[in-house]
Amino acid sequence: MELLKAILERRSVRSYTQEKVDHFILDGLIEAGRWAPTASNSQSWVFIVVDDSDLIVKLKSISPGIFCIPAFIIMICSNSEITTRNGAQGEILALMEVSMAAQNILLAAHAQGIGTCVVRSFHQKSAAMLLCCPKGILPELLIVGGYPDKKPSTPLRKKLDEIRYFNRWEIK
Amino acid sequence: MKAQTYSKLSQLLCYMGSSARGLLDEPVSYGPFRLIDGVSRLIGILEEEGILDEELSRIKGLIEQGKFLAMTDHNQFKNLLDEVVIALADWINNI
Repeated sequence: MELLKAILERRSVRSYTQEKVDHFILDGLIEAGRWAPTASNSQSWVFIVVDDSDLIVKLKSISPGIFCIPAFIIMICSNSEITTRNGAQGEILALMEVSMAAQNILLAAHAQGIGTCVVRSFHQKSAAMLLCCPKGILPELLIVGGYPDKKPSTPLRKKLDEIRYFNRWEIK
Repeated sequence: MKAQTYSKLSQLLCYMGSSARGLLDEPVSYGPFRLIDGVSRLIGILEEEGILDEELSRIKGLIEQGKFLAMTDHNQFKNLLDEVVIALADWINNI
């Protein structure tokens, strides 16, 4: 799929079929995330892919932002051991790295017909416990995904003229 | 109580607890959203347990159709909540 087409067509999908997603496809999604930009090549993230049904239900229970049972959850975690090396900005840079990796994953998934939705509404410490994360590995953002059950409607977007300036800010 | 029912109620309980914590840091509109979503989830459990009530199922349908308005259109979400609460009041008045 052409990249710009994928960017324009991707939507947050919140309803999935029960079909499982193969591990080699999930590995491909993580591979896309792995090649997102990182600060000074720090690669401060860790990806935990969950496709065990029982664990998905448990994660959903502490994640008010998940509205259905997805085929998989990709939990993107920051690694404080690496984050602290980036100085005072380390934590915010780690979140940016997580976000950029997430976007790559969303687009790679969409290109293969897999729907996804990013969720931040979950309890981080509980998620860390359920996923047996060692100290310093903190769940930051999760992506739920699967084969779409419904095609989401297109949300409203601000017009380009409202948000884009060339060279300098100007009063519109 | 059946193990399956216990499991579903446990999940709802975790949803409510984690929502309470999350709402301290989340947008104000998420509060009513989580509560009304909780109503829908509870009706869903009643349905799955065979406690059938046509009116409650209709109310659940209303919620599911419009709950994401909480993120996009405050006034329409407010109208939806009014409609749901009036329907609930009518329902409880007739049971």
